[in-house]
Amino acid sequence: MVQKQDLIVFQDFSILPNNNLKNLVLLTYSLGTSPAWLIQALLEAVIFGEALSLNERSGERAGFSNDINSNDTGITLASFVHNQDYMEKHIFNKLKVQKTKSEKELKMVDLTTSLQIEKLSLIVEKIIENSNNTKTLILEQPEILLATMSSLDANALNQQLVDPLFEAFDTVVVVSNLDFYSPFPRSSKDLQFNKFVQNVFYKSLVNLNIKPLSTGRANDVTGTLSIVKGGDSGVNTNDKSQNVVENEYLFFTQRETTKLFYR
Amino acid sequence: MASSTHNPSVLLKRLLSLKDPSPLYLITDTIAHTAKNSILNEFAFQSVSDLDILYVSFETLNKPHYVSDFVRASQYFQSSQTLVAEVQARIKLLHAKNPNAIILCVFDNIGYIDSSEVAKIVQMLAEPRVSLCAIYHRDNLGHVESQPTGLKDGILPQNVYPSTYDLLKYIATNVLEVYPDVSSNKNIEDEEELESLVSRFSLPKGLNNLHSYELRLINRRKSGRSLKFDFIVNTETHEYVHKIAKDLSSEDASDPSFQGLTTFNLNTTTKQKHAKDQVDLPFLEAQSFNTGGAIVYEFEKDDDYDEEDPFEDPF
Repeated sequence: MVQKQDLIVFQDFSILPNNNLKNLVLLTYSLGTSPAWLIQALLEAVIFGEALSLNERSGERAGFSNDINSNDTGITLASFVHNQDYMEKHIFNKLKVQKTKSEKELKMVDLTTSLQIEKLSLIVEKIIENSNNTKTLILEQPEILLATMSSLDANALNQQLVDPLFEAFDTVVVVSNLDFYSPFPRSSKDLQFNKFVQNVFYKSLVNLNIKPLSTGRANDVTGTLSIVKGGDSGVNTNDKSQNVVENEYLFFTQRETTKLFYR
Repeated sequence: MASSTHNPSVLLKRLLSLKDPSPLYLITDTIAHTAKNSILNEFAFQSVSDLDILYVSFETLNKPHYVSDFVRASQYFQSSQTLVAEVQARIKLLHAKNPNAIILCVFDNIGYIDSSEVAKIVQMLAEPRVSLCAIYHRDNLGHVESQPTGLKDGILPQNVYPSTYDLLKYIATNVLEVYPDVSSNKNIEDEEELESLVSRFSLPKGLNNLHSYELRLINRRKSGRSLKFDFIVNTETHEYVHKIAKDLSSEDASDPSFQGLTTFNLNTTTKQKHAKDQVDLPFLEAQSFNTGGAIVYEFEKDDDYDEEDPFEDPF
């Protein structure tokens, strides 16, 4: 039997950065490999302190009392692609946390209705208002705004949406779909999309990239997850615990759980 | 050759420690190896006591440890004028603290500033004891082919004005280009593979956390002469090894007998030769087949055995 592996992103075995700095994580994926399982793992990492849905560890959930909390910071999930209903059904219900606890620590912001908005600052306000002072934010697919707002370019999206959120939260996870990323941009929209993803990468501490198998399809593997260091150096060079452990995993998603293997 | 009389790595060290004053450094990088993960640390390492680094950041919100003063440019995105005023005020403060200091003013990604304003900002911040250092991401440059140029309704379209990169490359006194060190990265085979991976944003392991990278220095002298050197920089030992450029003609290994024969290129490069040597030719395998021409037939489950066949195989 192949040994299953824990997901480790940083040298101190954590999944999300654990320092007193401002951090940005870039999560990229392409069609065919949904990042839902990884987003769920990140939510669990904040709420329970460990990613319980990975590697069939949900049985251990009993060990994590609902009162004991790893860190009282909480997490906000803001999505431009999934509405409140979807998030409750597919993410909240899977987490299986007590409702009272979740009200404090897990906030969801439905941004699917904000796509036609005129000012990005209104979106920022909406997220911060609904975040209830949580310290981590997962921002799903902000690049959609490049398509819905005609005069928006990558720099403006970065400066007016990502940067204010980056200041307001300790850790921001930007989830982006790479299907719009084109090696040979044919229009200025393509160019702006490339630029947006690149410039988020330059700010990020780590890039988690989910890809389908390059060989096609297999019965026992869904895709690969590669963890590479981002464009930002991180600041304190003496603190090795926050160094990124670059690695490539194979993952296999099943109904309730996702298994990880080293490549 | 005049440039061989002095040592390129000494020149690089002098430039990084700002012993030779240079008004504008341009650092260009790509996602394959970013400036923040590479050359900026060398400025900090080589810095002398009388150097203050003022970091104007459009990207990171964390103040790097080697920096004397830090400006979060995201707070001034509405107008570049207020940003410049703030930077000028900070420079004054640093000068007041230490009048002898040289200030290196780093613009972490000048691409956020509109190209029409870049030249003006450089001009406004230029002072005798201030060196500007602009970082630009080369991969932000894109060429959109089917974009109409020319006058439209009498208004000059924006793409006629030179890009920030072109402008800065033209006026910079020193250009430092950061490239990943492909030869010491075990996860990539060659530059071609790296390029195809990076263009799809599927970054292989060991790019930004590798302890060495390639650096191309273009040093423009007052005389108008410009020197170009390639280095391999080690971030742990801070050694700069001058890489002598391989002569392309020796790489090609051209056969003189093909000269002037056709207009086609009949030469093979070393890489092509290497690839050719690795191909197993099919007839070599056939020669090792030692049953001597016999028809090898294996009877399978679904084959029917015809008993009345007079020419049947004896087995």
